[in-house]
Amino acid sequence: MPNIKLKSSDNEIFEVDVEIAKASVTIKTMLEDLGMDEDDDEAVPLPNVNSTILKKVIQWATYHKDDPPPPEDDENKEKRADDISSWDADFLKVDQGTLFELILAANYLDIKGLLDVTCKTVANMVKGKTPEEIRKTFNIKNDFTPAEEEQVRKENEWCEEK
Amino acid sequence: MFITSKHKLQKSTLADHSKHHSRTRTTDIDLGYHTLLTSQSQSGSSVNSFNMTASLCSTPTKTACGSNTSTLTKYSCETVIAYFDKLTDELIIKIFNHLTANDLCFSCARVCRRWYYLTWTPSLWQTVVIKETTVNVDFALRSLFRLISREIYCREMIPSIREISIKQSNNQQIHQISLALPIECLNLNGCQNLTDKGLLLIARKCTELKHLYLRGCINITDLGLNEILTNCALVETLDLTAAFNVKLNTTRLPQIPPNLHRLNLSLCHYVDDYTLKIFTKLYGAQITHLYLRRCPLISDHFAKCLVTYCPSLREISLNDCPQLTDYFCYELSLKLGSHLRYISLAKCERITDAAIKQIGKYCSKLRYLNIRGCRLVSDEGIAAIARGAAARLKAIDMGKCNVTDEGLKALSDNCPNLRKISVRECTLVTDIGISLVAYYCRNLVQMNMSNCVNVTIDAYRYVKRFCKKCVIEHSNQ
Repeated sequence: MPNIKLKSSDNEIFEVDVEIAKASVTIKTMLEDLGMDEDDDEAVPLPNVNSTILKKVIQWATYHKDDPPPPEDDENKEKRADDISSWDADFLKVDQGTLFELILAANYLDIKGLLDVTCKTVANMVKGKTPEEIRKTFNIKNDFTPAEEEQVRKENEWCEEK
Repeated sequence: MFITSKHKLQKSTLADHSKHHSRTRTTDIDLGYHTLLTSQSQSGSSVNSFNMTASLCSTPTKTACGSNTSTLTKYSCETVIAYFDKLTDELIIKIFNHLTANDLCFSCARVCRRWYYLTWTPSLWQTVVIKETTVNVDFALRSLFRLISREIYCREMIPSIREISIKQSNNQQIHQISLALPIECLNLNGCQNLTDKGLLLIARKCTELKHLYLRGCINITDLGLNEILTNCALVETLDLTAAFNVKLNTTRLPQIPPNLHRLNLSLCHYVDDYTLKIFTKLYGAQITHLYLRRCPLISDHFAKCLVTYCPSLREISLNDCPQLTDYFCYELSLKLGSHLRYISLAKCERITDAAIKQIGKYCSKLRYLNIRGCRLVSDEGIAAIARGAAARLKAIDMGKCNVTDEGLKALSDNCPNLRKISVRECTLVTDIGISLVAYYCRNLVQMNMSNCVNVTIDAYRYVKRFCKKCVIEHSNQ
């Protein structure tokens, strides 16, 4: 199988099987549209992804290389976040910084499967928490005025279990 | 025009930073709301008829805030990183997409202004899931529908401005907004205190509704259902599993053009041949997925109606319908076989090899077959399925069937794309059969060999070795 080289933002070069790299629609498009040749020796620059994250992304793509392609237009009707495979769950046992970097990288590289699973992981971190717990978990500043806060609470009153 | 006047907001403000994901390639990721707080300027106090407004805008240069600014302190937590600030709106919405209405309203909307604004993104509410709760669901729906209409209204009136008015929810004008909601999927599974009142509201407001899940909603009746059928002409999916008080009273069903694609009446034990005959005659023409698990009154008499009124059928489940015999399968596979992809006959104990052979012969598109607990089915039937469905077969459950290694050999010879297989409690199966399947069906993701007394640890090792991603269910032997 032919390999291509990927260059991270901190100039580290990774050699990857082309088929695995093509999990990224961004890279796939680059190779196809921009006429980058597969046996070209030049590395594909990925200025938005650092080497730590790129390594993780490649690890994920390698494991999932034989997965059937995701359905074109899955609307995620069930809104499920609990269907993360155990391998992915282990893979995503990382600190918050890495997790969010992975979301950004998956988005930039356009890897739907990775983006989905990372977003689900964050969704699971939000689930069931009170607003205060969420602010604490993610260092978010409460910028409501007390009056606004009361108003927002009131309009969402229905969801407080009775 | 109740919002426009009150904000001296730069109109051009934030014209969606996150229109397309490729934007993130450049460094201009939306720094989000926090940037506005480190930058300064207040617009003059807002003039409005509402008690309170909170406007949001995430341009770093201009900002507008409600009158109460003293409590808006600057971000001081530079030491700890707020990772959410790195995400574009689009990405946060993607995350929110995995949350139920309960989570969105109880948690997200109340975190901060940016989250509040994003929570009410209309596209997020195309699918509404209210989790099984003790909340008053009728009230919840009313509140939700009102808030969603308000947001659509506000955002349509002033689409270029990112702002939101947190208004008194009892405001008269809000009450008068009566828009069709964009809700396409409404999942109220397990909402036991949903009543016909709630269904009526849905029927009135959600004219775009396509998928309605009412599993276990035991307090709804025909009255509410008829409203839905009458008003929500687009409904394709209807799940009434275990909604015991819906009786499908055949004399009252509305005459409407059939648009149902997926119907689930599992556990509706009142469903009998006659009810189904009338129902499918009215609405069956488009039905592709029909689930009738544990409807013990269904008998072979239904077969004729089914094949006549549901010509589009692709998937059918008749688990635990103990009256069914080979006759039903004959009719089904002969008339509809060429379309059927999914057949489940688990625990229909009167089914024999003859029926299964018929399915193998006529159902050439079969991908999934569940005959768990059909003890009269043996290798002969399995071999017919393996030859008939061949490479298309993805999953087969033969738990408790009278299968031996011969049956497994037939599968391994013909069905290289098998992904899931269960031979649970097939006492005649040995390591040889399992290893054949493992060797030739490398895509297995699930193998259930619990309680196979003649299967040893060697089989387990074999599957592990050849099917890397396979989850193996077994009982320790």
